[in-house]
Parts: sequence; C-alpha cells; structure tokens
Amino acid sequence: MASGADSTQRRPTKKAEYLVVFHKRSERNLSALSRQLKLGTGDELKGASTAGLQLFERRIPGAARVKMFARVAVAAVDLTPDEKTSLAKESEVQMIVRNEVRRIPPYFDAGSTALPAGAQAAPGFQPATPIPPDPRSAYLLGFRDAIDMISSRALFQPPAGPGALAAAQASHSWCLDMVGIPPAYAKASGKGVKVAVLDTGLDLAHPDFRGAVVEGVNGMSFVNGQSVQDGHGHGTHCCGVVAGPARTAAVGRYGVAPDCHLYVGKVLGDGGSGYDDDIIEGITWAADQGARIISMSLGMARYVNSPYPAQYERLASELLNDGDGVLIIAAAGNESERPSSTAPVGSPACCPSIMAVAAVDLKKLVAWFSCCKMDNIGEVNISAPGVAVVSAFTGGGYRSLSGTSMATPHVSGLAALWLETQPKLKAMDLRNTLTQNVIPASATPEDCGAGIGQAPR
Amino acid sequence: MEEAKRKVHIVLSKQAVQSEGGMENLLKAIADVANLDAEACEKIRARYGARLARFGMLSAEIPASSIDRLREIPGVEAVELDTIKHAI
Repeated sequence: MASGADSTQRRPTKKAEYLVVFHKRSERNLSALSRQLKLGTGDELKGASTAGLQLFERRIPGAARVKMFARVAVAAVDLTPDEKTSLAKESEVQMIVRNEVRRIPPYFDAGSTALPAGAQAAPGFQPATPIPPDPRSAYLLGFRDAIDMISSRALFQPPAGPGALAAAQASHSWCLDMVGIPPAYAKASGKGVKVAVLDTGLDLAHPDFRGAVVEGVNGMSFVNGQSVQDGHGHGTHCCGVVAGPARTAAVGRYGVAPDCHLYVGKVLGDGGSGYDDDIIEGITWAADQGARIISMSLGMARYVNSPYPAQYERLASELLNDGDGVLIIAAAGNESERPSSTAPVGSPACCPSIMAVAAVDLKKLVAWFSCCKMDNIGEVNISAPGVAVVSAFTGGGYRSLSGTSMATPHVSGLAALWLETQPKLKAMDLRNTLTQNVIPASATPEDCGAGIGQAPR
Repeated sequence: MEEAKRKVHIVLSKQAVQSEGGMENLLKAIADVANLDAEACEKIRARYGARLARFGMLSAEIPASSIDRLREIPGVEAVELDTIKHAI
C-alpha cells in the first residue's frame, strides 16, 4: 500500500523492470530489497524468501512492484536507475540485469520494408523497421528469456553432499532420449565428422570445451574487431548441443555428437546479430575446412509468400551438390505465437537447399514459438527438442534455453552420427536419411516436417 | 550530396558466368549501371573473386538508386540487400 512517505521519497525518474539475482536462497534477500525499496518490515516478510517459488508479490501503486522467485533466488523488480545502483551494493545481490528481450528482431531492414509482389503479411506479423515491433511479441520473447533464466537457476544449483557431483554428471538430457540417444548409447559419437557451428562463437575457456577449438585453426571470427570468443552465450549453447562431451564438468551429457570435429565460425557479433556478408564468408570458410555439416541457429523473419534469399540458395545448392556435398541446417524461426498466430519459416531456413528445423517440447508438441510452413516457399523439414534445452553457456556454466536455435544443433549432431556410420553418404542422401529416420511429433507436417530426428540404431 | 550506398549480393546466372567472356561482360555491365570506377571494381575482384568464381555471385556497395536497374541486366538472376540476421 502506498504511504505519504513513500510518495514523497519517490524520484520522478522512469522505472524499468530488472531481474535481481541473489547469491543464494536466503531470507536476507527480501530484507535487502526491503531496505532499498521500503517494502515494509516485520512478520509479513518473514519466511517469504525461502518458502516457495513465488510466494511474495507486492505492488505499491505508482512505486515498487516486486515478484520474488524465492526458490531460485531471483526477484523481478521495477527500479529507477538510482534504486538499481543502491540495490547493487547490497551484499546479498549477485547481479542485476535488465529484464528485456534478448533481441527485438528488425524483421526487415529499412531497404526492404515494402512487401514483395504477391506477398502477404502473416496474422499478427509486422515489419519492425521503421514500424516499432509488436509489444506483445516483445513481451512474449522477454517472458521466454526470463523463464529460461529462472529455470536455469532452478536446474543448476551447485551439487551438494557426497556423490552429488558424480550423480549430476551421470544424469542425461531428456533431449538426447527424445532423439534416440539413451544413456548407454554407443552406436556412434560423430567421430571423424567435421561439423561447423556458425553463430556467436564459443566460450573457449569453458571446462567442457577447453582446448577443443583454437582460434585460426578450427575457430574463426568473421565479425569485425571481435575474436571467436563468445561474448553472448548463444553460440556456446549451440556448440554444446552439437558437440558437448560425453562426460561434462558438472551436469549430465547434453551433446549429441561428442566426438565430432567441431569448427566454430563467429558470424554473429557479441550482440547476437550479424550481416549476410559475414555469414556467407563463414559458410565458405566452413566448406573450405572440409565441414560436411553446417549448423546455423540464426535467421530473420519473413513475410508469407516473400521469396527465399537468392544468395543463400545459390551457396547452399552449390555446396549440397558439389562432390560429397555440404549440408546446411538452419533454424526455422521463433516468430509464432501459438495458439493465437503462426509465422512462416524465416530466412535463410526457407531456402529449398537448406534444411529447416522446428522445435518440439517434452511432450513432442510443436513449441509455441516455432515457425511453420505457411506458403510454398519455406517448409519445415524436420524437428527436434527446442524447449528448456540444457547446454553449456558462457562463463563456464550451463543454461536452459528455448528456441528453434536449440533444435537445430540437435539435428546437426544427428547428421554427424549418421555420417559416421555411413561415411559414403552424399549430402543430399544424408538429408534424406535424416528425414526418413524420425519418430512422429504430435503435430502436423506443416509444423514439424517429417518428424523428430533420430540417431542411428 | 553523395547518394547513399547499399551493400548488395548479386547472383549471376550460371549460363552467363560459364559462357566465354560472359563474366567479364557482366562485370562491366554492373560497373556501368552502378557507376563503379576501375579502383572500386578492382577492390571487388580482390575481395570477392573467389566467391564469384566458385558460386557465381559477388557483393558490392552501390548507390541505392541503381539496385532496380541492376536487376534488369541480362544474366543477373537476383540482387539481394545485405540484411542483418539474428541469433534465434
């Protein structure tokens, strides 16, 4: 409830929503918030910090709004810049991050805002430049990121007690089970197969990848002024799904092809975006290194009936059919908002010669954000787990993320397993093998293509 | 005032690229339409020569007003703007 004192002490500066991450679960967390935000004291706060996932929510009209996710030691709080500064000084607080979207996609750049001839906008789908993005989309994307962060905190509490680390290491990602890799799986590991991940780079110092990638050898940056070291996290996560080790530093196995020969091309900057020119350079580099599989968890939204990008199709078709061939696998896109609306497969995944990957969840249902076939340009070819996917992240830790970005490296890893077991497969045959060895998803072919990709048995 | 330039990816038809002198003629036509001088052409060759030879496409920064005219050159299959892609 607002008091006169609260009102007079409030600064007129604009508030923004932040996630306050505490060092550990403790009753002192809420006390720290209370000290800085004047939430009140006494019995009403006692126990609220530790008892449940979201036991404490307080709204003071015109002032603070606090949601305490106590079990994971995270609070969502509206703060002014001054409040943020003072709260950051509290010893209980580990970090304060803006609760914002990881990206608000400029669906089309300023030079191509006009709809192409014959194209029509998907329902609820608008170009972001120069028109601002749909706030509903921005909220949903931000919500997805917040959930990812909170679930990561819940999943990755440091192992405690005798044998806890060994038990954690012995655990197994549900995603691997879904793609036909049970804990005792020994049919293939991707050995000898070169797979390139084109993304934001790799955390070279991550315990699960130490020494695996050397800049200038099997790691290369195409982003002006940045090294292959991942300053974003997305690339490290995708590399982890493709090639995370069979035995990890602190969690169970999450990598599909732990023995594949990983190549990392940084084509997206530390902000998570990059130019076509750099991506094309990265694709060419990967092919020159002998990569047979190129994994691209990147893209741009597309209007219904707008054409596929000719430069990517030329590149992909030439590589697919040249000699043994190179298979490019790309994320279908995250612009759907099911059940209210769906969006078409994005670019460059919409190219006929590029394999488009949709995301499914634990129940084999299509993920609410996953793009689908809505025209005769871009179709979904295959699907894979892409909701709450655990993998490596920058800083040496792990994160649970959701997106068709996470589904894509699962398929790339599966491609490496198939190529190990059938090394004479041409790229086109590999593509067919992947789509012929699937289990059904609880969705239509328009949503999930041939089905959920499977490892060789 | 100098006109704003855009980076574009120019995809050439395979037939035109493979015909004798076809690629040179195409490059000359592109340079004429986009008002590229000899120095600019040389830079493009140095930077994108391998891409051109291997995939029949090249990239260049050209005046925005010449994009549509580039598309009309026989042997030019497509002209695509250099856009931004995102980690998704």
